[in-house]
Amino acid sequence: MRTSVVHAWLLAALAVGSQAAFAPRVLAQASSGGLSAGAQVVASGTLVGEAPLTFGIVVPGVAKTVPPTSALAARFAGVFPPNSRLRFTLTLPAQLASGGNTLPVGAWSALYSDDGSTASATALSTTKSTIVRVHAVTGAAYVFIGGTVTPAAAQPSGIYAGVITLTGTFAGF
Amino acid sequence: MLRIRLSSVALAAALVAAAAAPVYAQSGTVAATADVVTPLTVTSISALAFGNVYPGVAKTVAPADAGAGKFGVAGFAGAEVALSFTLPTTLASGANTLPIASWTGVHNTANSASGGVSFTPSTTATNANLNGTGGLWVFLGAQVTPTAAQVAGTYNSTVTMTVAYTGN
Repeated sequence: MRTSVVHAWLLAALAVGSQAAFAPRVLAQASSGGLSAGAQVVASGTLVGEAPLTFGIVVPGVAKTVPPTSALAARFAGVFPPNSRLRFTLTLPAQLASGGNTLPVGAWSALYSDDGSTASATALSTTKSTIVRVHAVTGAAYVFIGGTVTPAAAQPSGIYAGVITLTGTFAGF
Repeated sequence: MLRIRLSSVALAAALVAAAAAPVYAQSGTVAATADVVTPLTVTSISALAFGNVYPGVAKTVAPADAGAGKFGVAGFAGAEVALSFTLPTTLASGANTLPIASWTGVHNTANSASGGVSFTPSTTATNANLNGTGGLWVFLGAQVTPTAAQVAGTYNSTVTMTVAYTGN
């Protein structure tokens, strides 16, 4: 009898153990992470160069144009007294430089808009000062600039750079 | 008499021995399993960056934009996870605050917002599945609304994402 009782316990233990071995998997683990959210508030009356004019890879002997509507065009932005007038003056390089080597740049074109969109932009002179009116409500002003580089057939390789300067002067209301 | 008694004793002993011996000799096997789950990890890949913001000019960053915030999640391949967020209502620059709202999100099993699943980040969990190698990416966007008198400065805050296995 004792033997039978022992075996019964063993069988019961096996049954319990089997159920435990085939219990469903429970995933109970969590993890957290944080990232920063940031913004740089620029004071009104400030003109900022937001994006460079980027010609990218240029092949010797092959001219390359970036229009002012391109995502690669230079972009300036600023905020001024709403509905005020600004006199914009552009200073544009005639060449880009890489050490002692130069790469001609020209055929400049520029656009102005008060909403950041080139779709509603108007042409801006690249050779003389132009008066524009900033946004009537936000005071925003945007300028987009494109151009053409003309590398020689024997243009030495390298990274060529220059500086575009935009000056905005308050011109009343 | 003695002989019988001995026989009886011997028989009793034999019976006891027989009773004590195992009725059967068998063996069985059961599986012993241990499911080691890949720990969940959350990695901050890139900050939510609005860049230059102008007083009175609201600015939006969408989940597919270059300035979107991005988290990476790693865990058990194919597992379902619940995504929940602690989102700030303002960014701060010293004592000055810049409102932030209109949160948008995309989660994707590929490292791109394109083709992902749009959702609204909040404290209420959104479920998503990790890919075949246990990965998931989460892209975040929002809008800041500076006032016309917003003080110039660098404004910041922190976005927290919590990821948990749902068990599915």
